Amino acid sequence: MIASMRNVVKRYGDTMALDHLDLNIAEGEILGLLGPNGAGKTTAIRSLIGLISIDSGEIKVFGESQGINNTSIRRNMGLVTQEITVFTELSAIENLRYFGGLYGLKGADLESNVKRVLEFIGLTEHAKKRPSKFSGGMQRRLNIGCALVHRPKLLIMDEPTVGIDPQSRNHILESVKLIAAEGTTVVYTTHYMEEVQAICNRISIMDSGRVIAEGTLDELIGRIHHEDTIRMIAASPSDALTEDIKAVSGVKNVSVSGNNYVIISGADSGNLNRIMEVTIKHGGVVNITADKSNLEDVFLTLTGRKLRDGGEG
Amino acid sequence: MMITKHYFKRLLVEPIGLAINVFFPVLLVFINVTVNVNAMEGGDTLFSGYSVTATSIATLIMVMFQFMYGTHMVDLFFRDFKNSRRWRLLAAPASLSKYLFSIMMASVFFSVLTGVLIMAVAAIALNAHVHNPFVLLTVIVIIAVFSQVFGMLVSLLIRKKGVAEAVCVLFSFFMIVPSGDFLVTININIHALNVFFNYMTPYAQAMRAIMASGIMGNSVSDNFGGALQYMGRDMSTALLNMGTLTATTILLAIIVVIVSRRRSF
Ligand SMILES: Nc1ncnc2c1ncn2[C@@H]1O[C@H](COP(=O)(O)OP(=O)(O)OP(=O)(O)O)[C@@H](O)[C@H]1O
Ligand SMILES: [Mg+2]
Repeated sequence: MIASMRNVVKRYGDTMALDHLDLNIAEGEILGLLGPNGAGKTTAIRSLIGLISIDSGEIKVFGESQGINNTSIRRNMGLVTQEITVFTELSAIENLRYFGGLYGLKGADLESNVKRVLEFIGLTEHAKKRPSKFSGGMQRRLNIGCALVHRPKLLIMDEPTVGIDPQSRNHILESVKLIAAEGTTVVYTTHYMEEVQAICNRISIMDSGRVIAEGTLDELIGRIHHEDTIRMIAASPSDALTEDIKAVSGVKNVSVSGNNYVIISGADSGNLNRIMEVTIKHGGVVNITADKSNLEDVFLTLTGRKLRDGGEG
Repeated sequence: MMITKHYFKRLLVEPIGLAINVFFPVLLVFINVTVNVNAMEGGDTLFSGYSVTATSIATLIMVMFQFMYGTHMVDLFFRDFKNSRRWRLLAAPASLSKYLFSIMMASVFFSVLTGVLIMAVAAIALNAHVHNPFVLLTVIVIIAVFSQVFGMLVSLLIRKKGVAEAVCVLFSFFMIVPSGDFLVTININIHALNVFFNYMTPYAQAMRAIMASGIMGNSVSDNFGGALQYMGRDMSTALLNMGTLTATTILLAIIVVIVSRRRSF
C-alpha cells in the first residue's frame, strides 16, 4: 500500500463529509474514486494530502502518518484540483516553472522537466501564451501539467475532465494511462462511470462520505448482478434447440416466444459463446445481445439512487 | 525567494494594477503641482532653488498611496487563498506562512519601488527636493511594511475582496483628510483629535519624519495646520517619528499574529 485511510471521520458542522472512510491505494495502480456530487471525494483527497485536519481515524502515505503539518510528505505527491487553478496572468511555461519550483526543482532539472511536461500535455507550441487565451481543454491540460513537473509518486486528480469536449477528455484519459505506465500511482476522482471503466484498475465507489463498494470493475459488477440476460433471435427455433440451450451449464432459465429466446445465465460464465455454438448447429443465429450491467447499475443497486441525478454529464 | 519573485512578477504584469497603483499617483503629482503652481500669484515659492509646492505635494501623494498599498496584500491573498487555488498551493511542500511572508516581501518591494519612482519623477521633472534620501527611503520602507501588515489584518477580518480593498484605501484617507493636509483645510476644535491626527497617526508620524529631515529651513513653525506643514529641520524629531512608526508597525504585526491564530481562514 502506498497510502491508506482508516476509519476517517471529517465533520463540517452537522455534515459528515467523511463517515468512517476506508481507502487503500496500491502502488502503481489507477484507483478510481467514483461518487455523486457531495459524496465526499474532494474531502477525502484533501485529507489524504494533509490539507485539512480530520476528526478521527488514521491516514498513512508512503508509510508515514499524514497530517496538516507534514509538509515534507507532499514533495512526492501531486494534486490536480477540480477547478482550474493555474495563474491566468502568467504564461503556460511560467506556470509550470513556478509549480516545479514550489516542489524544489531548480535550474536545468526544472527546465528539462518543464519541457517534458509541455510536450506531454501538447502545449509546447503554446508555451509562451497565457491560459486566458486557451480553450477549456487546453486549460485543463495545463491544470494537469502543473502537477506533473516534479514527477510525483502519487498523483491525485480531482475530476480533471469536468466541462470539456469529448476529444480533450480522451486525450486526458490516455495521458493518465501513460502517467501510470511510467510508474506513478494515480487516484482518479470522477462522477463519470465511463471514465473509471476506461482507465481504472480498481474502483472505490463513494456515497455520503463512505466507500460503499470496492474492487475491480468485474468484481463490482459481479457483486450485484450474478446473472446476464441474453436475448437471441434464432433462425429456426425448435424444442430440440431449447433443450440443448437448457443443457448448457449455468443457464438458469429459457423462455421462448416465436423466434425470440430470452436466456438467463450466470454472469461471466462464457455462455454467450456456448449458446451461439449450440444455436448454429440448429440452424443459426439471427441476432444476439447480452445485457451487461455497468457501474451505474451497481450504484443504483447499492443506494437506490442514480449516480448522476440529472443535470450535467 | 522563488515565491517572492513570483508574486512580484504578478504585481508587475497586471496592467490595471500598474495603472492604478503606479501611473495614477505619478499623474496626480504632475496635475496637482502644475495646477497649484499656476494658481500662485508671483509664481512658486522656492527654497534654495527647489519648489516647495512640488516637494510637499509629491511627498503627500506618495505617502498617501503608500498607506493604500495594503491592497497589494489583499489582492494577492484573495486571489490565491480565498478560492480553490489555495488547495493547490498548500498541496505543495510550502506552508501558508511562507506564502504570506513572500506576498508581503513582494508587496513591500513593489510599494517601495513605486514610492521611489514617484519621488524621483517629482525631483527630476518638477523640481521637488528630496530632503534626506536616507530618511525618505527608510520611512517608505516602514510604511510599506505597515501597509502590508494592515492589508493582512484586513484580509483576515473581511470576507469580500472589494470591501477589504476599499478599507485599505479609506484607511489612508481617514488618517490624512482630518489632518488638513489633503483636499480640505480642516480645523477640528477638539484638542485631543487635533493632537491625534497631527501627531499620532501613522500618516502623521511618517510625514513628520520626512519633513523634519528636510533642509527647507527652520522658518516654518510647528502648528496644527497638518503634519505636512512641519518644515523645521530637526533630525531628532525625524528619528523619534521613525521610531514610533516602527513601534506602531510592530504592534500591528502582533495583533495580526493573534488574530490569525484565532481565525481559521
Ligand atoms: N468547507 C466546507 N464546509 C462545510 N461543508 C463542506 C465543506 N467542504 C465540503 N463540505 C460538505 O461535505 C460534503 C462532501 O463534499 P465534497 O466536496 O468532499 O464532495 P465531492 O464528492 O467532492 O462532490 P463534488 O462532486 O461536487 O465535487 C458535502 O455535503 C459538502 O457540502
Ligand atoms: Mg469534489
